[in-house]
Amino acid sequence: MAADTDVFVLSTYAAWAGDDNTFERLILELRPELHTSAMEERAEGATDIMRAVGAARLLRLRERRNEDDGGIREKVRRPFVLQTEHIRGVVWRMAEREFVLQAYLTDFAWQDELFRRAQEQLHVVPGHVEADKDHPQKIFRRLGSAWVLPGNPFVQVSVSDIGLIEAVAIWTDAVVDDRAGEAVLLSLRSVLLALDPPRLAESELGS
Amino acid sequence: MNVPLTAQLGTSSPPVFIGTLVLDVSSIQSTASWAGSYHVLDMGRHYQDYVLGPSLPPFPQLATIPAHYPYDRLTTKIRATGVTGNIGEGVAALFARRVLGARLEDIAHVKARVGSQKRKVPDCLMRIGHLLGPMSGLNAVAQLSGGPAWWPIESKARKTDASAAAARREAVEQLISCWSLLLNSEPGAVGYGAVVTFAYEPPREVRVSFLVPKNIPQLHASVAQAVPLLENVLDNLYGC
Repeated sequence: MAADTDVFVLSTYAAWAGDDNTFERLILELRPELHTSAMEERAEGATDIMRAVGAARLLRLRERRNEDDGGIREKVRRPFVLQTEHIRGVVWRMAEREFVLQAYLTDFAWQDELFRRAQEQLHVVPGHVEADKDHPQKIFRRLGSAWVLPGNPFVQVSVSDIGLIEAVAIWTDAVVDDRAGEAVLLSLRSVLLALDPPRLAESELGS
Repeated sequence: MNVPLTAQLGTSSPPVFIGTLVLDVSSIQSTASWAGSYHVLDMGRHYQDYVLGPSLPPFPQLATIPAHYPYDRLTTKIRATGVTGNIGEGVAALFARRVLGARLEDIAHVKARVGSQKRKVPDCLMRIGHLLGPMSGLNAVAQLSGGPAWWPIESKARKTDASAAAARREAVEQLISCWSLLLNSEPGAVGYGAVVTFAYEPPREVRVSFLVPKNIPQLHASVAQAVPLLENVLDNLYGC
């Protein structure tokens, strides 16, 4: 059960990030009999698969989001996958100047290391913790961390308590030109590299 | 925002203070987005307005409703239940991670299998059976540690302590539905579960109610009923 559950939980992470290829692959790993069904039938019949329908809707929503790009930066018109040894993430364009990387752990055995490295980043934003005079020793603070990367793009990163990584990049130059996509991807790539240094490969989602 | 965290055995025993849970926007943002059953685009902003903000946006009070209508004007916007539901599910995940030390792979969201869709379903299963040490203040460690590895968890976020108390009973009904499904396949899991309630208006509180079977044969008999009576089930759980 443990191995299945790990795959199941991982599939929910992939769904959260909108990483549809991985989501599909993991779901089919759990339920190979779904392989021949159409997506709608699959979603309807597979009610034990967490949020199959929700994930499909989420993906459609995100496709629409990316359709409206107007071809301004060819490389980020479609979502981009960034991957390291233990983390996989998808880059989304949310608005003309705003890009989001949603990434997740692909190796649960590495989770302690992720949180350790997240706490070590520069420019960490302190969490807002009120003093508790009565019980100062019993405060359950966040396990994750948040930090910023100053400059253009300005990037705000957070690693949540459940190991989901979100990085919002804002292009701050007055002119939004072809440099933006490349620079944003470079910055977001650096976020993952800082957390998981060894190697990085990227490919367009769906390719 | 710091919120007192308490735990109790059952739903009626005195709650024990466990510590303070820091529930700021960054804690809730992606946790509630992932843990929540409802698709909400920005949980952080909703959390800011729903829980941390001083009030919800008011409606302009332009017209007077005639006195013979049995209505009052709505004075402010109201919170969407799906969003508060997501907040509750996020808080339950944070409790499991921070307080019990559950690992990422120990929290699994569930919905009913084909053929069981009419059953009420817990929000998630958590593999916390071996992690209940921090709950030793409940004086029920022996009972807690005898439970299954995977516990069904139901979570509720409500405005006040009173409405959270009512929600705990609703939550137990949902868990009874889960137990009735497990009665034949895993009888040892029947009666075990936890309810996490978050009263989000001051005085705020996160309370975790651990459900543990007291009289197992009688509990099984009451759960086996076509329509289990809540009171009969509660009688056979500790602290209820």
